[in-house]
Amino acid sequence: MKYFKYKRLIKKRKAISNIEIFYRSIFNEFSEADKKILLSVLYKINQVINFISKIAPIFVYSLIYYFHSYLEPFINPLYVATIYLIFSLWSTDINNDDYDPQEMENVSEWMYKARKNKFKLLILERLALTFGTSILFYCIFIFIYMEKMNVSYVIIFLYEVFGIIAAILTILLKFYWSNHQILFLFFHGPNDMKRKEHFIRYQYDSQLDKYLIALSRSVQNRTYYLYIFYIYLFAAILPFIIWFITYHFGVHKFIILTVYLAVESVMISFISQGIINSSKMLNNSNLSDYYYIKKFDKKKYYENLLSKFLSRKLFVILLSYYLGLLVLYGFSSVTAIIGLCSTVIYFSTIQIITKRVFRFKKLSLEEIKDNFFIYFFNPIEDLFIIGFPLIISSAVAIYSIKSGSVYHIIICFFIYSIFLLFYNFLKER
Amino acid sequence: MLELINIKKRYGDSAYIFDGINLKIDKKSIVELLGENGIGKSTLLNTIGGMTKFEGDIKLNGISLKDNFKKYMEGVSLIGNTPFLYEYLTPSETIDMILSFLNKKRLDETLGALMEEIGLHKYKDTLTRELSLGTRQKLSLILALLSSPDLILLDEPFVNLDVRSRKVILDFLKNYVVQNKAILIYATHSTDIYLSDFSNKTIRLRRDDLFDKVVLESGTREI
Repeated sequence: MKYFKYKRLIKKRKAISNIEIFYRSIFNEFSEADKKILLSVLYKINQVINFISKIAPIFVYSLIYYFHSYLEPFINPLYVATIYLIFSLWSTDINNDDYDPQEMENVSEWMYKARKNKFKLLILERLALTFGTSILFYCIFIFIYMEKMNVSYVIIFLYEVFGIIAAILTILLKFYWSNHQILFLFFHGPNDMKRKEHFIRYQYDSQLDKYLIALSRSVQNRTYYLYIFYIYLFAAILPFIIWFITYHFGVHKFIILTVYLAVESVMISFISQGIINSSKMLNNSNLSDYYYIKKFDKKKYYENLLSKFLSRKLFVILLSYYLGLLVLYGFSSVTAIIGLCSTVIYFSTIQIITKRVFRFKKLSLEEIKDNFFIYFFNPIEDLFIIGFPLIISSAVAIYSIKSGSVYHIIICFFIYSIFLLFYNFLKER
Repeated sequence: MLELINIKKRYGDSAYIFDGINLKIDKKSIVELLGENGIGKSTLLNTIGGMTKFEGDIKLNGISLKDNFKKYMEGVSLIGNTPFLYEYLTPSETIDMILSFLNKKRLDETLGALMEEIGLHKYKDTLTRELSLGTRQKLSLILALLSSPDLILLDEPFVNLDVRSRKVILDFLKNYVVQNKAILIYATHSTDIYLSDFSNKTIRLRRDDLFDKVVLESGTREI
């Protein structure tokens, strides 16, 4: 039990220290005594948010339950609930810190033994806490809904069993793809260092920049390959989806075009951040980046190479955007202008994300030492700059449909592209 | 010459760790920075190395860190307690990368010879992540010397080195400091026997309990 207490204590301390760093500029305005009060309030708010996010499925299932009559003509509400469960399990973030075998190098004897003996239990406990509530709420929903529909208890039971099997398969598949380390640690224990390291392919290309070589080597992991798999899958099917929903379902072209453009910056940002997070080098070598940028004044060099790296990896998305445009508007001036806009959005978004990685100007060595990714995280920019097209997309689509002119969409995204270009140009110069 | 002018340093709103440090170090000096754990040796080295915020100013050969950061940094090399290396590059690739920053095509002959003498050349094509701590320290040192710095700052640099390599490196650094009229400052928490003849100046960081601040006590010796 001591071990579990220790893990919880460490988790609490980490959360508090993250809050402290994240809101540092606000904390600096307060006295030491007030700072402590503010910190404890913010920690409690954080706990409440965590709790609400855990019980969020209740709200979703309630909505499905109360609006089932609207859903039924289109799709069985049980399928909607099952799809939601699988999607939420798949997208749940697993905190690898909980299973980090290198977490305690200088632990006391009891802790070391506890870690050795209770490790499987710890993993199961964390999994139960992470996924258990989602599965439990799903089962409760199934039971209440099917009972209301006067379905027999045997059928309800069978449905529940199938639901749980689907959930377990999803979790296993998720682990297999993106959190392979946890499965390995579960079976082999925390002290088995064999196979812990990834095998690094060692190709040498004297023509490539050395930093680019290091980046390519550092992303040889499952998370990265998963992103690449998604990118290619998305790029391959996007033009077909557009063709299908335009010419078979008759969805208005303006709606497709608006959503199409609005999603681009968000998607590029999301995938870029995912790849950056998956790079072990960007995680572990930020002190080296910091030092060499300061010593040799090489910020541009690092930014250009990371941006080049991401642009190459994500280029298929841009290609599929061009193809999608051709499907919608053929060879026309609309395709040309929108193609230009999406190219500008593509490169500008990548550069904005890249600049976050190397925004060392105002930071000191100690500040980035342990908390690099807190500085990398920029929710305001994510929401209001990169996410802006998504916020206004529905209004733009409705206005264009009412006026019957595609030029409103073109003007809107042309202005956004120019804005993004300038924002990127002015950002931390 | 290195001049520290009224250096004040603190973390956030906490009390000052250094509250007005003044120091002058002449060229051709090898300075041993002593002090107990946590007294601020690494912080002082990071401050001189331009890696952290502080009040006051530092001048190297008349170039101010505050007014001419870029020029100042050209003359300084720091090896921190976490070496500034790239795990996914081999030593030769890392050296190539730093050489490209310096617009140099190849390694100086003297450094090439030093690499061979300390046995680093054997690992030149091994990924840094697979190197031992000692080999990483050797690589850090070579990288620090690539830019022919006027000021070398080393944080506990010799702890993981084998006896032979340590001797070779100490001799090399001694010659480097004299020939290039450079300054070398290294931090250590104890007066190690193998370093007893290495430095010609010692600076001890000591906590002044009365005023709750760190003070510097310096001494010189002939080598």
